[in-house]
Amino acid sequence: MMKILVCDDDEALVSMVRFKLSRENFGEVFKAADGREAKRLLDENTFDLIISDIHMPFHSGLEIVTHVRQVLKKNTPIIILSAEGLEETVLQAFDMGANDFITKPFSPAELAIRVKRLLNL
Amino acid sequence: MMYEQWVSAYGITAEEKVFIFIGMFFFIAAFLFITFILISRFTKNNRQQHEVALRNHFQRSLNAIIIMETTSAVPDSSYRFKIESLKNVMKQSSFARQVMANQLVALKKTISGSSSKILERIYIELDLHSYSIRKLKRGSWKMKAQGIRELTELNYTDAIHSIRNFLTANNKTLREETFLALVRLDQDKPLSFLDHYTGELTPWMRINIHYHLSKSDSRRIPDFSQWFTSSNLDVVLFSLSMARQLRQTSAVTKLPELLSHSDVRVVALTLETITELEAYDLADVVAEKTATFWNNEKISARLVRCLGRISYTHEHKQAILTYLDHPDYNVRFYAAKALYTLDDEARNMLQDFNRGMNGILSGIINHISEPLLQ
Repeated sequence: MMKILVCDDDEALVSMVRFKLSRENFGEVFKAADGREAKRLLDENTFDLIISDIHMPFHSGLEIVTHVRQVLKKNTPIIILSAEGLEETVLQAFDMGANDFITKPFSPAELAIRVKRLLNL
Repeated sequence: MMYEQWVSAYGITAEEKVFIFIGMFFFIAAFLFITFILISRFTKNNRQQHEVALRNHFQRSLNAIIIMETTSAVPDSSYRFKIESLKNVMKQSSFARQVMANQLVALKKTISGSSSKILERIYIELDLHSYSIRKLKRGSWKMKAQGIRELTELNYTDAIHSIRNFLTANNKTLREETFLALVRLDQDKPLSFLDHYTGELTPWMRINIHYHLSKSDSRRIPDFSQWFTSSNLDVVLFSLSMARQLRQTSAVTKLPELLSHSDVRVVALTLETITELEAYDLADVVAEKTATFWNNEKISARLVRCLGRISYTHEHKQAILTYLDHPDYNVRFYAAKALYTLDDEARNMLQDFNRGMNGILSGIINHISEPLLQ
């Protein structure tokens, strides 16, 4: 069974994404409300996909990408989900190793398709 | 009576009585104060817990409605059932209605597409639009602003007429909310209210309008030159800056008359707009204004920079040349730079002038010709 981690401090959004991904039968969806919790879960588990916001308490989404790529040395697909759609931020995210970038507001249906593609389903 | 007996039994003096009174007063006051804090804490906690419970309940229902409506053909009865159960919860209190409204607004900011349209439908089906409109009639400007924000975020366009009334509100924040709401809600003519707007346009309003217009369909963006003749100076300045930022070349024909405007800020912004739009057709008009603005160094500096960008005849270069002996250093600097960067003829004119004036501009010429500073 696939394991997906959703990191965002917006409870309503996390709840919706979890519901959507569960309905699509993508696997078990875990949540982290801040960067510290996300790091802890990443250190303790192996995920098949990570969806993360950029602006979170304690550690940003970009720090999470760096942690996965440089500390954990994993190539887990990462989708950055952010309200900040500046070209510079998008390029920085991809440069650090993110696989996809979705700007808020986003369509849950579009997110599901992108997740499906990254999970090769 | 008991107190009197107690006092006489212990032989307490009048002074000691005063101290006892003061002590008792502070003790009772402290007790009441602590009790008040504890009760308010308890109430606040209860309220927060109730809010969290309601939010979770609403979120579960919203997830189900939004996701099911967009992914599969769910029977209408199922949708109706969920809406009715939400209505039943919201009937209980206005607090529950407010939690739901907040939830919808928060979700609307993060999701788009068909899911976002469903949120708008839910807002109306739960009759929350009436709840938000009722807030517009409340006395507090905060409530009115909250109502406007909810109606705007959930795209309730029928409220445009009611919201428009607050354009002249005394409260600045309320006016700002109204302004932005109209820009977002009025799909056909988002800035039509500027025709009769007499109030102030704050930097906050300008930034937000620019942000929303830059994100919206270019066909929705109006021709800002239609407000160049507005009697409201703020509207004229805003329209000019928007025409400049959005590079509306259609505004060029209406710019010359603004060069004769009574307000120097309008003249300055007009020159910047001509520069930015590279309106070569207006070079003659700008060159003719050299004598008019000679005494105003800020306008002169802009005029010279403008001519430096759009000049193409000898007369235009001659107009720039007149600024080389301007009393203000900045104006002289921009004039020299304009001539230096225009073409060979202009550069020769600059060198000839400098020689004629015993090298008075040599310092500026050395500076602008320095390759590292180009």
